[in-house]
Amino acid sequence: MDVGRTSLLPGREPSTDGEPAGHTLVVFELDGREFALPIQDIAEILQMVLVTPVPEVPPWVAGVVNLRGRVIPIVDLRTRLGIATRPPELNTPILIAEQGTRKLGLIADAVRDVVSLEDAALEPPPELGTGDGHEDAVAALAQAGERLIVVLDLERVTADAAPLAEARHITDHAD
Amino acid sequence: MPTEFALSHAAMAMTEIPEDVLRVLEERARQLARPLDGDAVPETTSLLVLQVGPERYAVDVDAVREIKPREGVTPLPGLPSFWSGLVNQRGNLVPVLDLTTYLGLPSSPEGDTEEAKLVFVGAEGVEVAFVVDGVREIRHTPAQDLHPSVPVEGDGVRIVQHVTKDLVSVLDLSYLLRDPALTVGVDAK
Repeated sequence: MDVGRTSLLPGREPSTDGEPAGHTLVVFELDGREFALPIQDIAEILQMVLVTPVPEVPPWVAGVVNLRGRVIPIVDLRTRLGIATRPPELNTPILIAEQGTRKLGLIADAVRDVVSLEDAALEPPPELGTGDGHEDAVAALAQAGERLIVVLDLERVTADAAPLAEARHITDHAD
Repeated sequence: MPTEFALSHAAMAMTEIPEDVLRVLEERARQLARPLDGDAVPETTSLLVLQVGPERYAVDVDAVREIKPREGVTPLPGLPSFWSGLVNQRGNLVPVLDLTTYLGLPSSPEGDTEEAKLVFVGAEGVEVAFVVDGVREIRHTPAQDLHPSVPVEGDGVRIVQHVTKDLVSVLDLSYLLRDPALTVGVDAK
Protein backbone atom coordinates (compact mmCIF):
# COMPACT_ATOMS: atom_id res chain seq x y z
CA MET A 1 0.00 0.00 0.00
CA ASP A 2 2.81 2.41 0.89
CA VAL A 3 4.18 3.16 -2.54
CA GLY A 4 7.16 5.34 -1.75
CA ARG A 5 5.39 8.13 0.02
CA THR A 6 7.43 11.30 -0.22
CA SER A 7 4.82 13.27 1.64
CA LEU A 8 3.07 12.23 4.81
CA LEU A 9 -0.27 12.81 3.21
CA PRO A 10 -1.31 11.29 -0.09
CA GLY A 11 -3.24 13.00 -2.83
CA ARG A 12 -1.49 16.33 -2.68
CA GLU A 13 -0.60 18.40 -5.69
CA PRO A 14 3.16 18.64 -5.93
CA SER A 15 4.37 22.18 -5.61
CA THR A 16 5.83 23.37 -8.88
CA ASP A 17 6.20 27.11 -8.49
CA GLY A 18 8.58 27.18 -5.55
CA GLU A 19 5.88 28.02 -3.04
CA PRO A 20 6.11 26.10 0.20
CA ALA A 21 4.18 22.85 -0.07
CA GLY A 22 1.06 22.90 2.04
CA HIS A 23 -1.97 20.99 3.16
CA THR A 24 -5.49 22.05 3.84
CA LEU A 25 -7.17 20.01 6.54
CA VAL A 26 -10.76 19.71 7.68
CA VAL A 27 -10.54 19.63 11.47
CA PHE A 28 -13.21 17.83 13.47
CA GLU A 29 -13.73 16.90 17.07
CA LEU A 30 -13.99 13.51 18.75
CA ASP A 31 -14.28 13.34 22.52
CA GLY A 32 -12.88 16.87 22.89
CA ARG A 33 -9.80 16.10 20.81
CA GLU A 34 -8.98 17.39 17.36
CA PHE A 35 -8.67 15.13 14.35
CA ALA A 36 -8.41 16.01 10.68
CA LEU A 37 -8.55 14.72 7.14
CA PRO A 38 -7.13 16.37 4.02
CA ILE A 39 -9.79 18.52 2.40
CA GLN A 40 -9.42 16.57 -0.86
CA ASP A 41 -10.89 13.57 0.94
CA ILE A 42 -14.08 15.35 1.98
CA ALA A 43 -16.81 15.77 -0.64
CA GLU A 44 -19.45 17.33 1.59
CA ILE A 45 -20.62 17.57 5.18
CA LEU A 46 -24.17 16.67 6.13
CA GLN A 47 -26.26 16.92 9.23
CA MET A 48 -27.02 13.61 10.91
CA VAL A 49 -29.65 11.46 9.25
CA LEU A 50 -31.15 8.13 10.22
CA VAL A 51 -28.64 5.34 9.59
CA THR A 52 -30.03 1.97 8.56
CA PRO A 53 -28.20 -0.91 10.29
CA VAL A 54 -26.92 -3.76 8.13
CA PRO A 55 -25.77 -7.24 9.21
CA GLU A 56 -22.26 -8.66 9.06
CA VAL A 57 -20.29 -5.42 9.26
CA PRO A 58 -17.27 -4.38 11.32
CA PRO A 59 -18.15 -3.01 14.78
CA TRP A 60 -17.49 0.60 13.70
CA VAL A 61 -19.86 0.56 10.74
CA ALA A 62 -23.11 2.05 11.99
CA GLY A 63 -24.99 1.10 8.85
CA VAL A 64 -25.82 2.64 5.51
CA VAL A 65 -27.45 5.81 4.24
CA ASN A 66 -29.09 6.46 0.90
CA LEU A 67 -27.19 9.45 -0.49
CA ARG A 68 -29.28 10.67 -3.43
CA GLY A 69 -29.89 7.21 -4.77
CA ARG A 70 -26.54 5.76 -3.82
CA VAL A 71 -26.10 3.58 -0.75
CA ILE A 72 -23.00 4.46 1.25
CA PRO A 73 -21.65 2.95 4.49
CA ILE A 74 -21.43 5.10 7.59
CA VAL A 75 -18.37 4.70 9.82
CA ASP A 76 -18.58 5.73 13.46
CA LEU A 77 -15.19 7.38 13.96
CA ARG A 78 -15.45 7.12 17.75
CA THR A 79 -15.75 3.33 17.65
CA ARG A 80 -13.15 3.11 14.87
CA LEU A 81 -10.61 5.01 16.98
CA GLY A 82 -11.37 3.23 20.21
CA ILE A 83 -13.32 6.04 21.82
CA ALA A 84 -16.53 5.16 23.66
CA THR A 85 -19.38 5.77 21.25
CA ARG A 86 -22.50 7.75 22.00
CA PRO A 87 -25.85 8.22 20.28
CA PRO A 88 -25.71 10.95 17.62
CA GLU A 89 -27.62 14.19 18.08
CA LEU A 90 -29.48 16.37 15.61
CA ASN A 91 -26.46 18.53 14.85
CA THR A 92 -23.94 15.70 14.71
CA PRO A 93 -22.11 15.97 11.37
CA ILE A 94 -21.56 13.25 8.81
CA LEU A 95 -18.48 13.92 6.71
CA ILE A 96 -18.91 12.41 3.28
CA ALA A 97 -15.48 11.15 2.25
CA GLU A 98 -14.51 10.31 -1.28
CA GLN A 99 -11.89 7.78 -2.41
CA GLY A 100 -11.90 7.45 -6.14
CA THR A 101 -15.39 6.27 -7.01
CA ARG A 102 -16.10 5.20 -3.43
CA LYS A 103 -18.00 7.32 -1.02
CA LEU A 104 -18.64 6.80 2.65
CA GLY A 105 -19.83 8.76 5.63
CA LEU A 106 -17.85 9.42 8.80
CA ILE A 107 -19.61 10.37 12.02
CA ALA A 108 -17.69 12.92 14.10
CA ASP A 109 -18.78 14.89 17.17
CA ALA A 110 -18.44 18.29 15.50
CA VAL A 111 -16.63 20.02 12.66
CA ARG A 112 -14.22 22.65 13.97
CA ASP A 113 -12.61 24.47 11.07
CA VAL A 114 -10.40 24.23 8.02
CA VAL A 115 -6.69 24.92 8.51
CA SER A 116 -3.89 25.39 6.01
CA LEU A 117 -0.49 24.13 7.10
CA GLU A 118 2.93 23.91 5.56
CA ASP A 119 4.56 20.54 5.10
CA ALA A 120 6.92 21.27 7.97
CA ALA A 121 4.00 21.42 10.42
CA LEU A 122 3.33 17.73 9.88
CA GLU A 123 5.21 15.01 11.70
CA PRO A 124 4.98 11.27 11.28
CA PRO A 125 3.07 9.56 14.08
CA PRO A 126 5.29 8.27 16.87
CA GLU A 127 5.70 4.51 16.85
CA LEU A 128 4.18 3.90 20.21
CA GLY A 129 2.93 0.45 19.42
CA THR A 130 -0.01 0.65 21.76
CA GLY A 131 -1.26 -2.55 20.25
CA ASP A 132 -4.89 -1.56 20.48
CA GLY A 133 -5.26 -1.67 16.71
CA HIS A 134 -6.18 1.96 16.33
CA GLU A 135 -2.79 3.62 15.81
CA ASP A 136 -2.61 2.52 12.17
CA ALA A 137 -5.31 5.02 11.30
CA VAL A 138 -3.03 8.00 11.96
CA ALA A 139 -1.23 9.50 8.97
CA ALA A 140 0.51 12.38 10.73
CA LEU A 141 0.47 14.78 13.63
CA ALA A 142 -0.07 18.40 12.69
CA GLN A 143 0.98 21.41 14.72
CA ALA A 144 -1.17 24.48 14.17
CA GLY A 145 -0.02 27.07 16.66
CA GLU A 146 -0.91 25.71 20.07
CA ARG A 147 -3.04 22.95 18.62
CA LEU A 148 -1.96 19.41 18.02
CA ILE A 149 -4.16 17.77 15.43
CA VAL A 150 -4.22 14.07 14.65
CA VAL A 151 -4.40 13.66 10.88
CA LEU A 152 -6.11 10.44 9.87
CA ASP A 153 -5.35 8.24 6.89
CA LEU A 154 -8.71 7.86 5.19
CA GLU A 155 -7.76 4.73 3.33
CA ARG A 156 -6.74 2.93 6.51
CA VAL A 157 -9.59 4.26 8.62
CA THR A 158 -12.10 2.94 6.15
CA ALA A 159 -10.35 -0.15 4.79
CA ASP A 160 -12.81 -2.54 6.41
CA ALA A 161 -15.78 -0.66 5.09
CA ALA A 162 -14.40 -0.71 1.55
CA PRO A 163 -16.46 -3.64 0.26
CA LEU A 164 -19.59 -1.75 1.30
CA ALA A 165 -18.44 1.45 -0.32
CA GLU A 166 -18.10 0.24 -3.89
CA ALA A 167 -20.30 2.30 -6.13
CA ARG A 168 -23.76 0.87 -5.75
CA HIS A 169 -26.77 2.61 -7.09
CA ILE A 170 -30.38 1.98 -6.33
CA THR A 171 -31.93 1.54 -9.73
CA ASP A 172 -35.50 1.16 -8.63
CA HIS A 173 -36.12 4.17 -6.47
CA ALA A 174 -39.39 3.66 -4.64
CA ASP A 175 -41.04 6.94 -3.73
CA MET B 1 -37.10 -0.93 15.10
CA PRO B 2 -36.78 -4.70 15.52
CA THR B 3 -33.95 -6.37 13.61
CA GLU B 4 -33.22 -10.08 13.33
CA PHE B 5 -29.45 -9.74 13.16
CA ALA B 6 -26.81 -8.74 15.68
CA LEU B 7 -26.22 -5.01 15.54
CA SER B 8 -22.67 -3.71 15.20
CA HIS B 9 -21.30 -1.76 18.14
CA ALA B 10 -21.75 1.51 16.31
CA ALA B 11 -25.28 0.58 15.29
CA MET B 12 -26.18 -0.13 18.92
CA ALA B 13 -25.55 3.52 19.77
CA MET B 14 -28.19 4.45 17.19
CA THR B 15 -30.83 2.54 19.13
CA GLU B 16 -30.42 4.98 22.02
CA ILE B 17 -31.56 7.98 19.98
CA PRO B 18 -34.64 9.58 21.60
CA GLU B 19 -37.91 9.17 19.69
CA ASP B 20 -38.31 12.87 18.76
CA VAL B 21 -34.77 13.10 17.39
CA LEU B 22 -35.31 9.87 15.50
CA ARG B 23 -38.31 11.32 13.70
CA VAL B 24 -36.25 14.25 12.44
CA LEU B 25 -33.42 11.96 11.37
CA GLU B 26 -35.89 9.78 9.51
CA GLU B 27 -37.26 12.75 7.61
CA ARG B 28 -33.75 13.95 6.76
CA ALA B 29 -32.83 10.46 5.53
CA ARG B 30 -35.89 10.53 3.27
CA GLN B 31 -34.86 13.92 1.88
CA LEU B 32 -31.29 12.78 1.34
CA ALA B 33 -32.39 9.64 -0.48
CA ARG B 34 -34.16 11.71 -3.11
CA PRO B 35 -32.06 11.79 -6.26
CA LEU B 36 -31.27 15.21 -7.62
CA ASP B 37 -33.90 16.45 -10.03
CA GLY B 38 -33.48 15.37 -13.60
CA ASP B 39 -30.22 13.70 -14.39
CA ALA B 40 -27.57 13.04 -11.79
CA VAL B 41 -25.83 16.29 -12.67
CA PRO B 42 -27.95 19.37 -12.09
CA GLU B 43 -27.70 22.03 -14.74
CA THR B 44 -25.74 24.91 -13.30
CA THR B 45 -24.48 28.17 -14.66
CA SER B 46 -21.06 29.37 -13.59
CA LEU B 47 -21.21 33.04 -12.79
CA LEU B 48 -18.43 35.52 -12.16
CA VAL B 49 -19.68 37.98 -9.57
CA LEU B 50 -18.43 41.56 -10.05
CA GLN B 51 -18.53 44.55 -7.74
CA VAL B 52 -19.93 47.46 -9.74
CA GLY B 53 -20.19 50.60 -7.65
CA PRO B 54 -22.34 49.65 -4.69
CA GLU B 55 -23.96 46.72 -6.50
CA ARG B 56 -23.02 43.21 -7.46
CA TYR B 57 -23.51 42.02 -11.00
CA ALA B 58 -22.61 38.70 -12.57
CA VAL B 59 -21.58 37.52 -16.00
CA ASP B 60 -21.45 34.01 -17.42
CA VAL B 61 -17.94 32.71 -16.81
CA ASP B 62 -17.87 31.21 -20.32
CA ALA B 63 -17.85 34.71 -21.78
CA VAL B 64 -14.93 35.88 -19.64
CA ARG B 65 -11.60 35.83 -21.49
CA GLU B 66 -9.27 37.39 -18.95
CA ILE B 67 -9.10 39.46 -15.76
CA LYS B 68 -6.33 42.00 -15.23
CA PRO B 69 -5.59 44.90 -12.89
CA ARG B 70 -7.07 48.17 -14.11
CA GLU B 71 -4.00 49.55 -15.83
CA GLY B 72 -2.96 50.85 -19.21
CA VAL B 73 -6.30 52.32 -20.23
CA THR B 74 -5.82 55.14 -22.74
CA PRO B 75 -8.67 57.66 -22.64
CA LEU B 76 -10.15 58.74 -25.95
CA PRO B 77 -11.77 62.14 -26.35
CA GLY B 78 -15.23 62.60 -27.70
CA LEU B 79 -16.73 59.34 -26.51
CA PRO B 80 -19.74 58.89 -24.26
CA SER B 81 -18.71 58.98 -20.63
CA PHE B 82 -19.23 55.25 -20.10
CA TRP B 83 -16.30 54.55 -22.41
CA SER B 84 -13.07 54.73 -20.39
CA GLY B 85 -10.92 54.39 -23.49
CA LEU B 86 -8.89 51.63 -25.07
CA VAL B 87 -6.51 49.06 -23.71
CA ASN B 88 -3.86 47.23 -25.68
CA GLN B 89 -4.47 43.55 -25.18
CA ARG B 90 -1.56 41.72 -26.85
CA GLY B 91 -1.71 43.92 -29.90
CA ASN B 92 -5.49 44.17 -30.05
CA LEU B 93 -7.10 47.43 -29.03
CA VAL B 94 -10.04 46.56 -26.84
CA PRO B 95 -12.61 49.19 -25.88
CA VAL B 96 -12.97 49.67 -22.13
CA LEU B 97 -16.47 50.11 -20.76
CA ASP B 98 -16.98 51.65 -17.33
CA LEU B 99 -19.81 49.42 -16.10
CA THR B 100 -20.65 51.71 -13.19
CA THR B 101 -21.35 54.66 -15.47
CA TYR B 102 -22.96 52.55 -18.17
CA LEU B 103 -25.41 51.01 -15.69
CA GLY B 104 -26.12 54.44 -14.21
CA LEU B 105 -24.84 53.53 -10.76
CA PRO B 106 -23.17 55.91 -8.31
CA SER B 107 -19.43 55.31 -8.39
CA SER B 108 -18.07 53.69 -5.28
CA PRO B 109 -16.60 56.15 -2.75
CA GLU B 110 -13.30 54.29 -2.53
CA GLY B 111 -12.87 54.83 -6.24
CA ASP B 112 -9.32 53.93 -7.19
CA THR B 113 -8.68 50.78 -5.22
CA GLU B 114 -6.29 47.98 -5.91
CA GLU B 115 -9.29 45.73 -6.31
CA ALA B 116 -10.38 47.51 -9.47
CA LYS B 117 -10.09 45.19 -12.43
CA LEU B 118 -10.47 44.97 -16.16
CA VAL B 119 -12.67 42.02 -17.03
CA PHE B 120 -12.38 41.06 -20.69
CA VAL B 121 -15.56 39.55 -22.02
CA GLY B 122 -16.45 38.38 -25.47
CA ALA B 123 -19.80 37.66 -27.06
CA GLU B 124 -21.32 38.05 -30.50
CA GLY B 125 -17.84 38.49 -31.97
CA VAL B 126 -17.19 41.59 -29.89
CA GLU B 127 -14.62 41.88 -27.14
CA VAL B 128 -14.95 44.51 -24.47
CA ALA B 129 -13.15 45.11 -21.19
CA PHE B 130 -15.37 46.06 -18.27
CA VAL B 131 -14.01 48.32 -15.57
CA VAL B 132 -15.27 46.92 -12.27
CA ASP B 133 -14.53 47.77 -8.65
CA GLY B 134 -13.70 44.19 -7.79
CA VAL B 135 -14.12 40.55 -8.67
CA ARG B 136 -15.93 38.79 -5.86
CA GLU B 137 -16.35 35.10 -6.61
CA ILE B 138 -17.20 32.39 -9.07
CA ARG B 139 -20.36 30.59 -8.14
CA HIS B 140 -22.19 27.66 -9.65
CA THR B 141 -25.86 28.47 -9.65
CA PRO B 142 -28.50 25.85 -10.44
CA ALA B 143 -30.79 26.87 -13.26
CA GLN B 144 -33.84 26.98 -10.99
CA ASP B 145 -32.16 29.64 -8.82
CA LEU B 146 -31.87 32.02 -11.75
CA HIS B 147 -35.04 34.03 -11.90
CA PRO B 148 -36.04 36.06 -14.93
CA SER B 149 -35.62 39.76 -14.36
CA VAL B 150 -38.69 41.94 -14.02
CA PRO B 151 -40.71 41.81 -17.24
CA VAL B 152 -40.89 45.56 -17.84
CA GLU B 153 -41.54 46.97 -21.29
CA GLY B 154 -38.63 48.83 -22.77
CA ASP B 155 -35.00 48.17 -23.49
CA GLY B 156 -33.16 48.96 -20.29
CA VAL B 157 -34.16 45.93 -18.31
CA ARG B 158 -33.07 43.50 -21.01
CA ILE B 159 -29.46 44.16 -19.96
CA VAL B 160 -30.23 42.11 -16.89
CA GLN B 161 -31.07 38.61 -17.98
CA HIS B 162 -31.64 36.92 -14.65
CA VAL B 163 -31.53 37.66 -10.97
CA THR B 164 -30.18 35.16 -8.47
CA LYS B 165 -31.84 34.33 -5.15
CA ASP B 166 -29.61 36.81 -3.32
CA LEU B 167 -30.35 39.52 -5.87
CA VAL B 168 -27.21 39.47 -7.96
CA SER B 169 -28.16 40.65 -11.45
CA VAL B 170 -26.81 38.53 -14.29
CA LEU B 171 -25.91 40.63 -17.32
CA ASP B 172 -27.12 39.53 -20.72
CA LEU B 173 -23.87 40.03 -22.61
CA SER B 174 -25.20 39.21 -26.04
CA TYR B 175 -27.77 41.96 -25.58
CA LEU B 176 -25.44 44.40 -23.83
CA LEU B 177 -22.75 44.19 -26.50
CA ARG B 178 -25.33 44.87 -29.22
CA ASP B 179 -26.72 47.90 -27.40
CA PRO B 180 -26.96 50.63 -30.08
CA ALA B 181 -25.71 53.17 -27.55
CA LEU B 182 -22.38 51.37 -27.52
CA THR B 183 -21.77 51.13 -31.24
CA VAL B 184 -20.15 54.55 -31.32
CA GLY B 185 -17.04 52.98 -29.87
CA VAL B 186 -17.25 49.34 -30.81
CA ASP B 187 -16.19 48.31 -34.26
CA ALA B 188 -17.69 44.89 -34.51
CA LYS B 189 -15.46 43.80 -37.34
